Amino acid sequence: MSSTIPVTIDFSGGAEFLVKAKVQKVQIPEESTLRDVLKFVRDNLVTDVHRINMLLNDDASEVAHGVITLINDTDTGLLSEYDTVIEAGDTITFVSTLHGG
Amino acid sequence: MNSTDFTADLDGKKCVKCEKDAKFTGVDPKKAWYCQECFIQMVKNKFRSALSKKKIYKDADARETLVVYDGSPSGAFLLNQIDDALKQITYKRLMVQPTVLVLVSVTEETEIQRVVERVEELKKELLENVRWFIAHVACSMYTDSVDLEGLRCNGTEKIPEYTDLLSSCSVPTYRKELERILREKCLQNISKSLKISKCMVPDDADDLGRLALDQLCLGRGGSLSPLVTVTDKRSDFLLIRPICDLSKREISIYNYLCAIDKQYIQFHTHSNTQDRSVQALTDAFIRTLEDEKFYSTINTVLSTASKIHNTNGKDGSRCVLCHVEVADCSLCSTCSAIRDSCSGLLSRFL
Repeated sequence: MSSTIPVTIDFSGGAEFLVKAKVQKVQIPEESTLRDVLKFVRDNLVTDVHRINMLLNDDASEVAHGVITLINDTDTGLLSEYDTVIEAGDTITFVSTLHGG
Repeated sequence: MNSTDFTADLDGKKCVKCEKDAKFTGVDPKKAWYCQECFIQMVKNKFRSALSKKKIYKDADARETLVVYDGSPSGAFLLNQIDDALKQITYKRLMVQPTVLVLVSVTEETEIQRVVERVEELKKELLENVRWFIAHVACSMYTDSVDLEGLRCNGTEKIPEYTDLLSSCSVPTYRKELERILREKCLQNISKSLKISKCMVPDDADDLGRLALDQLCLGRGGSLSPLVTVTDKRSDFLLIRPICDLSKREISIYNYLCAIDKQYIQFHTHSNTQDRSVQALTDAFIRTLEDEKFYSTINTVLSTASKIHNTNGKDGSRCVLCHVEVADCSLCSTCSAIRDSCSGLLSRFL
């Protein structure tokens, strides 16, 4: 069994209404990429499955249009996007730009 | 992600304003990137420069402004910028006397009550010393002035009339456009009732870029500039769009960094992407372009639209419904088509 690392996942801008809690401390497999985290979120954290398309695309390979992903408050567009490797203690944030109104 | 990888992944990118590591990008990630402090400053500057370039508040007698809050990220951002600007004690203080208007568009009674309760909480957090009013977009149905009360959602008694009018419109594209026109009419009615001639709306660049393309499709291409730029002068009031240069992305990141995202009002709205309307097609078109990494589409559309002016309506004649300049009649051709699709219910405004 592969070892796991602790990370924090934060949902903001309305994305928090699709999951159980705004901030969640979870364990994910070591050497996971951001893309792996998306699948982890789909399988373990999303509670409002009918509106999951507001957070992730159909196969959870990317976030939905209008959702921004940050790792340690840095835009993943400035990192390796979905191939960014997550390290122990990282905070991954999902900011929705479309909720709220 | 450790700091070493961070630098490597960034490929040495530093903030374009200082020497710190870049953390956020502007609309196009290939053009500009900023550290956290410079990103926040850049966003604030866009708001302030939109107002100062047009010298909107140079006249000391007309500083009263209706600031519209619709619960959205852009609305929360606008309220906070006004709140912040009023708290400045230096030359940066914004010379404006705001009255906040919470504009409600949901029609269910329980949802409206939830908004009223949420607004009571928000009033304790920001703009404590200014007047707040809550009004439903159905206030657009009043033909006389509206008697606004401070503690309730005004205009709810007109919701049945409002929904009947929208439902009577048989063409989805015209229905969406009528909704937009009624929203503006509501703001105009309330401004007139409160005797406030300026109205700030939280229309961001993404909203306005889509609006520009919608209006082209609706045949109002000649009047694009006033519909999508900072100021839109009507006969008796001025619409101001101080965040017209800011994208939803910039606003949402700013709100997250400054913890403004707690001040949204969540409405259970239905997505209109399934509508068979021009507006839904425009939205899908822009989404596709952005997903294919054409990030500057909105900026290009807006910068082109801002240069398009109507030369036919120089005598000041305007459509009585949508207020675009028209050459020689009281109703523009688009509004005539909307009227024809509304089985007579729209005639009260004409």
